[in-house]
Amino acid sequence: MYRLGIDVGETNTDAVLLNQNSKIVQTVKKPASPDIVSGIRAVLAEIIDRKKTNPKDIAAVMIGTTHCLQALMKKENLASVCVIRIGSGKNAVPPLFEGNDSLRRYVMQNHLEIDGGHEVTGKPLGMIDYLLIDKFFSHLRAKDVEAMVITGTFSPMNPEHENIVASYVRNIVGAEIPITLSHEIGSIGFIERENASVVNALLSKAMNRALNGLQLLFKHFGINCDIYFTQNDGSLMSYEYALRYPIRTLWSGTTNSLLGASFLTGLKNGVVVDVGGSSVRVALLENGFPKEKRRNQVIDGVRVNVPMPDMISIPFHPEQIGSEEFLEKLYQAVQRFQPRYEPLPIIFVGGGGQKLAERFHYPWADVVVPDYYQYANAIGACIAPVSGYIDRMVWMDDFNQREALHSAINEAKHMAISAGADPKTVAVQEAKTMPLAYVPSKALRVRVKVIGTLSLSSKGGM
Amino acid sequence: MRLLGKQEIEDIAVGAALLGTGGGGDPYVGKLMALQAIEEFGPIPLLSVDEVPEDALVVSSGMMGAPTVLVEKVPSGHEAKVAFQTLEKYLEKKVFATFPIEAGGVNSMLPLALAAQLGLPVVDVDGMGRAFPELQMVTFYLDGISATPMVIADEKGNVTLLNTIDNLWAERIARSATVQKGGSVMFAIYPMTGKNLKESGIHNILRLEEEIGRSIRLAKENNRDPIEEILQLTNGFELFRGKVVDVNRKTETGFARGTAKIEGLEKYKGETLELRFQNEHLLAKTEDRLLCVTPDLIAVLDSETGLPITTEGLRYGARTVVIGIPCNPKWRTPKGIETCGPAYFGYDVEYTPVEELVKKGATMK
Repeated sequence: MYRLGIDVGETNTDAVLLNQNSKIVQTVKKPASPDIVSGIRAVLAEIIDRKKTNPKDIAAVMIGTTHCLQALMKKENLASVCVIRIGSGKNAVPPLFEGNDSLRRYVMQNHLEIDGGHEVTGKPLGMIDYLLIDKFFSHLRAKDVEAMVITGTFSPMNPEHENIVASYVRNIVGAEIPITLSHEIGSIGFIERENASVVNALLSKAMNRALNGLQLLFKHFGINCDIYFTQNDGSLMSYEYALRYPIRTLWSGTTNSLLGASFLTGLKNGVVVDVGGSSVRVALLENGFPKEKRRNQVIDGVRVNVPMPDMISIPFHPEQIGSEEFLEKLYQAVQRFQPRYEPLPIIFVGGGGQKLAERFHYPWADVVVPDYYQYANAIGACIAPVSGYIDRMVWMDDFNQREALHSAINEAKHMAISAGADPKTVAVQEAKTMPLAYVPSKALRVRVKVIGTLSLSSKGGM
Repeated sequence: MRLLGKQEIEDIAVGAALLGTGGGGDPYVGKLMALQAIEEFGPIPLLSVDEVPEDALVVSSGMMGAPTVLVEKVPSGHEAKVAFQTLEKYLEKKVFATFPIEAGGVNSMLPLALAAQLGLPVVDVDGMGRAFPELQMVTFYLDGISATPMVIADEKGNVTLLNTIDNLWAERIARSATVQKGGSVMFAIYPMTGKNLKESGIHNILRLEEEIGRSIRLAKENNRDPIEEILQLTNGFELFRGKVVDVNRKTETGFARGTAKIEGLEKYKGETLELRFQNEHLLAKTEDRLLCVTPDLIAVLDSETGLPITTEGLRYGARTVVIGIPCNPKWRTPKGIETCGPAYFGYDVEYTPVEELVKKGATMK
């Protein structure tokens, strides 16, 4: 029984096959293709054609890809997005206000603002006026809309109005148009949540194209197990989720490199330098997981409220490898993650990891380049856990926060298990409740994350 | 008069978060509104207090309630407009200018954002020099200036005009009305004359915020330590450096209050700082001595970037520098200490100015 990890990077597509004892049995590296599928075809051809591996023995495929990040940076295949606001934000700052024009031009200038949404108590703020929706769409050319975003006031507390409007809009725009609902993307903070939802919608087209034909490809090679994608927190999501939530893949490359670096070195804490084809990413491994950024998260200049790894990305070309200026930049980036005392080891991974490590002088701590460093991302994808994450507001009539936390934990566990986690391994990684500031109320923000290992016995090709 | 452009707004927002001493709400939404106002109406005129005629009517603008609600119900500017119109009608006088009630957090940004919509300039004055949680906690109250007539308006269109017998009643009634209106309202409050504002307000506070924000930004660009520059600008003191090891939020009261423990690093190794907060950071002490207490300012900063950390943002493992900043001298009078000193917040310590506490600590060592 094997797990197949695939990393679709900018310059290469890598694959790693792990056996049930988590031993590396095969590695493949192929030049990247502009789409995801042909790169994967090339690595599969090598793995399966060697006759060493029976495709029926592959119990799960995990794919990490920076495709959406590339699409966003290069502004390629971005969808033209139509925005609906329910309740809040009338005449306030327009959608994607902070974004630069190269991003903003994908958001249709015409957006719809209607009454509705909810109070912090969960009570409705107003009624949905369907006539306004009809009128709005009658002025739009349907073919101009490639993706929709719907954001409602306090939808992380009560998503009802987002759901109602979505099903109404679905009848107008048809089944093919992706609709992003903000409560599935972000947390409290209307503008940041809408921003994140718009980014998700922008990426829907690039992701859809990239994944087109992927499932057939695996079938063609006789691989019939489930396909997973790694997400920003390093955990796995299903193929269907990856299509719906492309934003969750944006930083999966970085988190995969962190998990891979941890696996290869056995270290739980360290600064990881991932050397890619056009950039070097520096991030912190904290107790075996990526350190997350929880404040001022920004995508392409736009603030969002989704979890992402805390990382620094430095543009890099292989000919810069000996450049003093580049090495100084890298040193500063590493220093930003180092605690002042007792500096952590620095782990170099990624294609150019060995070469760059040789030139990087760091007297304060060990510089480590593990075996298989050039496959760290694919390995990270291979060993990725399954998680359940909840960040929402609740209103407690009997004001029992322990109960609120308990039910959120149960729900997150259920999420993890239905995403494929082995129930025996599911454990709480974080559980926190926070009340509102400045107003005595029964509103409580609950944030829970649980994590478990992927169960291979219940699913897959066995 | 000078004009505030986008860079000034960005810098003020960072300074506002620092003077918010952990509370006051994230200035972010206010900042976006201000940036949009600049795009639409051009730079925002900022007056020094000396440019306000003595008999002119000036009114503070901002929000009351939970910042968490504000970030979900982004104001359109209409709420403030209605509040100001209602007050002008009641007072039968035109408002000359607006100003922030507090320096910390979102309320230092909102007047800048609303000024263009209201068609008014902003005066570089506030009533706290920091952030506090209640309406009467302003220097105007110490000088006997009434908070009312005041108007609070919500996004639904509800407008409430209050005339109360004193500012404590204004706080009480307005706070419960805010809860009824959904947890966040916009206000027009503390109508007063230019003369009153000049005598009672804290001057050049937006300039200070801008300087703080700029020095943090430039320090980052030039790889300098921002903490040292912040201390110089604010006459502040470094109280502690360390790692957050415990955050205990007491949520049963429905208020954001609690304690955090910070384990010392570097020269503070072996010591533990206890931080107490109620919306803002209010008290900092080690096992054996008090380091800083309200109304003096306590700011918790990210030790690398110098950026302030809010009470909600405190999390295990965060590496921080805790600094203490002397409050405005008006707060150090008996009435000032009675209004927002340690006893008002339920802490059983006597107020001692931070510079004396620092001096005492130095001699102990």
